Amino acid sequence: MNRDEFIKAANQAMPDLHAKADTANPDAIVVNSADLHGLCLWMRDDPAAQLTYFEFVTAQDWPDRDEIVLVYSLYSHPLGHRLMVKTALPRRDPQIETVSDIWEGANWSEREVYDLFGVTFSRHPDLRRIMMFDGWEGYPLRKDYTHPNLIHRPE
Amino acid sequence: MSTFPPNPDLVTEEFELKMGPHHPSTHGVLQLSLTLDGERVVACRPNVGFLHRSIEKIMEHRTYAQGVPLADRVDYCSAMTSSLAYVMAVEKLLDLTIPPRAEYLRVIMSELNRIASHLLAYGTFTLDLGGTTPFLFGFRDREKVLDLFEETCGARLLYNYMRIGGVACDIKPGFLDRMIAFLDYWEPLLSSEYEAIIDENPIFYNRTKGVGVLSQADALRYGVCGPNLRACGLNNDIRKIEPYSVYPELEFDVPIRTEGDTFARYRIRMEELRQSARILRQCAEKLPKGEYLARQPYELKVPAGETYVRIESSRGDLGCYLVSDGSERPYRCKFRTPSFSHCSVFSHLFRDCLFSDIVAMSASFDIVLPETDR
Repeated sequence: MNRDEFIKAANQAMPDLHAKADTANPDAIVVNSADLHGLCLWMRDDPAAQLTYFEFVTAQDWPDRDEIVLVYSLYSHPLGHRLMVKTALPRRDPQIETVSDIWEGANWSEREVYDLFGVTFSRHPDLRRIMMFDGWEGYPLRKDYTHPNLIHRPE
Repeated sequence: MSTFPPNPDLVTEEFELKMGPHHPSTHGVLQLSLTLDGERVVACRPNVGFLHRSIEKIMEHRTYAQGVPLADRVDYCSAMTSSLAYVMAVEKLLDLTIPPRAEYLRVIMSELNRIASHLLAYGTFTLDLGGTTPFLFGFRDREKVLDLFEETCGARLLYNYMRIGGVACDIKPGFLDRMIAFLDYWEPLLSSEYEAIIDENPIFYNRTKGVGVLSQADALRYGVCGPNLRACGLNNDIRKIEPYSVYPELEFDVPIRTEGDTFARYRIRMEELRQSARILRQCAEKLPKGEYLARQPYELKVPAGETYVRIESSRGDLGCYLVSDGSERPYRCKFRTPSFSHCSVFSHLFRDCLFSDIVAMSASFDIVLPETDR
């Protein structure tokens, strides 16, 4: 399936979903964060989707839009197609339901996003920092992150 | 031996053992928190992050061209492929066409790097199982590959050879002859030395055959990729399923095994070495003349947008997810690395097994910790 067929099939299966094509990424669709878990279950189990291979989840920080955008990347080995799913969260206290119960591989990937962007994944079995050590303050990959040892290069 | 008869009269108490981060067989700074019941492993919690260098954050503060040496350091045992993923992502956003000679040079260097990396994997894997001679075989011939890299770009580990639009420099006169001479010398050794010393060895056989069996469904659930997934019976070679560069013009097979055990993972790598040699011989014949670097403006501005490019690195499915906001620096650059997934599967695999098997199993996954931690 290509992206347009995905959007059509997903919106048909879940009438409240209202998935849209993403403008920046030709592989990505955009959904509301509340619908993400249900969509992921459908994507893994639907015979026409079969997105069984979880590649990664990562985030983009956009302070001017006051958004943290999560990006999930999935691939289907049996059908040979890929899909990315994007969903926007507010920068203050971003929260979303985990998908580590759907793909085990999301467990560490979500921990990384929690560690570096400060996104809380509810119902995650083991939400701890993974790259930085416990007790680290702040979320390093956010654009407004500062640290006393971080020196900005002169332009 | 993979089985161990339990003694009902012996009462043992579970205890915690932290294996690593400074342990010779963790191949870097991986820490395995093991719950042991005697010699038997009850649970394993891998801890990573000891080698986190925040490459992705540093890249946001550097120009696109300055990102290449950083991308090298994502996987320093296979630096050619990890920087290739990065430059391919930038080129995709720029919609840049690469000269054919540069494409071939990239494939030559990637496959040579795959040989160097797999020889390292072979050497350290056998060393972990107690074999010093095969380790020396691996390193002896890896040196010869590194010599080829050194004469081309001056470096033996972190090459900084890939460039946005091509490669940094052309190969030196006589490089192809020296490469073929190396292959002629080394390929027969694969069966006469490398495999002869361990494949039929009963100790090696008993410690690897049927040990650490990973089912295909579990492997997929955890995002296992590359040679480790091919050992579970799935063809996931990106060079075949999402071909890039000039791989469609080259003939090679993808070795597949179905056992999913430690022995299968080792065998896949040995077969891949032969396929890499086969690719290199074809490249030496087909290498076209011409430019090795595409023309581009001095100050590189990448159009706004985002892309995801993945390639088959020595360890598997290495991807670069790049977001540009139209400036001269990447807005976000994320590397999806195979070792990250491979370390996460350890919590599933290292359960109800012998402690001594942990060393064999983790080495067979060919994990490289800088790639996990970035």
